[in-house]
Amino acid sequence: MKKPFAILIFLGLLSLARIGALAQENYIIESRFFKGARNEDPSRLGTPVIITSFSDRLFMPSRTPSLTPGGEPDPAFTMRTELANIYKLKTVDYISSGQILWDGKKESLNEAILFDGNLYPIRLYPKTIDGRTISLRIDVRRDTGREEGEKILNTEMTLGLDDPVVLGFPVNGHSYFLSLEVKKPSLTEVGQLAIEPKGEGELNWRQAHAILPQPIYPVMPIYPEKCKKENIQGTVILYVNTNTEGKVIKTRVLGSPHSDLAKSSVEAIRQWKYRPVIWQGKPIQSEFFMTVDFKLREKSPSAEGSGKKRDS
Amino acid sequence: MCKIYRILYLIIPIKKWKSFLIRRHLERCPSCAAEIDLKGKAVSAFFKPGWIRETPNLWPQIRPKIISLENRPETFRPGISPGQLRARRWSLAAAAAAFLFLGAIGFFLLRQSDHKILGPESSLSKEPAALIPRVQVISAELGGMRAKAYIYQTPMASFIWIAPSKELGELK
Repeated sequence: MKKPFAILIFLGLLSLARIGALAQENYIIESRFFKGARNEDPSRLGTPVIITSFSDRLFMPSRTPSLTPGGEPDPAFTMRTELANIYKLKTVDYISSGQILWDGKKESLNEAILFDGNLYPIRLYPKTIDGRTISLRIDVRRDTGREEGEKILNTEMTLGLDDPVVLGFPVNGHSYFLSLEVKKPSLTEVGQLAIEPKGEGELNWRQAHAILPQPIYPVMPIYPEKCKKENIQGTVILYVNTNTEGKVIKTRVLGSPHSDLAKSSVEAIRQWKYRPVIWQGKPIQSEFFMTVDFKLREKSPSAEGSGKKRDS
Repeated sequence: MCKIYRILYLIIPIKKWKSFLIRRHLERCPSCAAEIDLKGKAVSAFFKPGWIRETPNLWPQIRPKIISLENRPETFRPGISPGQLRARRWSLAAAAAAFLFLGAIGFFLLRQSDHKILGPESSLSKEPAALIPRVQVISAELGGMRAKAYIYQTPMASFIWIAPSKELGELK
């Protein structure tokens, strides 16, 4: 009677201490990527499927920017409207988003977005200053097949917690926007940390800080016709494991708005080939997270706004 | 019986001590002895029907039994030893302490997650808002060239436009 009771109390205290430590040590970096144009963009959403890879733990599915079922504006939707108004843009398209975990220690976090036939690796170098302010260096490149890639943006800044920063920059006549927000995890997110998938390869994803393998043969998923007809869109979250040869050996669906979207994503990702990550002179297995955003062409917020004005 | 002994009889928890004290008192206290004697006389003064036989004096039989009971080890509820009882009390105290501790931690975490005490709001309460820069651009490069940063702030976010700058020149 006495022993199990004492063990239960001990375990309870231990788990609480763990939750407290997780909430204190970890940060969530939320990133959103947008593409804007001053004039009607013929290439707008040429690719209805956008793939983003993350080197670190990914949180909850990214929502398609629209009004939530409760009628509240989705943050990305609000941001698009704000971007269109501030920069006088005709169209603003939401590309992708992700909430990644930063343990407050790792030197860098990696993200790579594949859209419009280009791969854009984004590297973040965060550093805490006083618990309320974060120093962040952001390096955005376009993958050219070479190690360095084409430099697009490299900037260093300090920002406060829970205060989003939107970086806008021009690339080939288009405006790109990267929104970043550093925040402390909420209780729900701390709960997600406790059930994180455990790394199964020889390199645990926790240790694979800045390493994200480079895809050399990406196959885009096909948007299922059934989902297109039924207006089903959203984000599929995957956990991917590659072997020492760069082949995808394991995929696990962590979240999906529809089973057909998940099936299509897995079928495509299974065919991807990566350049294996080299660790201490040897090719190693890699583990990372991926989001596959299936989106249908929609009206831009500015166009919607002007439409309403004309009607009135 | 003397009043003090009635109180003692009520408050003394251990049966062994209780019976010992009462017995000793009845043997020594003259007032209590007189009271018992009086009660005995009063009883004998009552009419005694013929069919009631005189009962034998039971005290000599009862006395040794009481003494044997006094010498017997104290009994408790079956299955619970004094050690277990103590442990149970300690467990309850520990559970109450743990409950309070969990409540305090839960309250702290909820407060932190809901109000985001580490966020800019807490810093605003200490210093005037105008003195705290929400964002500070330390350096900016665009396509490998130095660039300028233009900041526009709304309550929602800080919008920074990075634009190429010919004056700043190429990076070495």
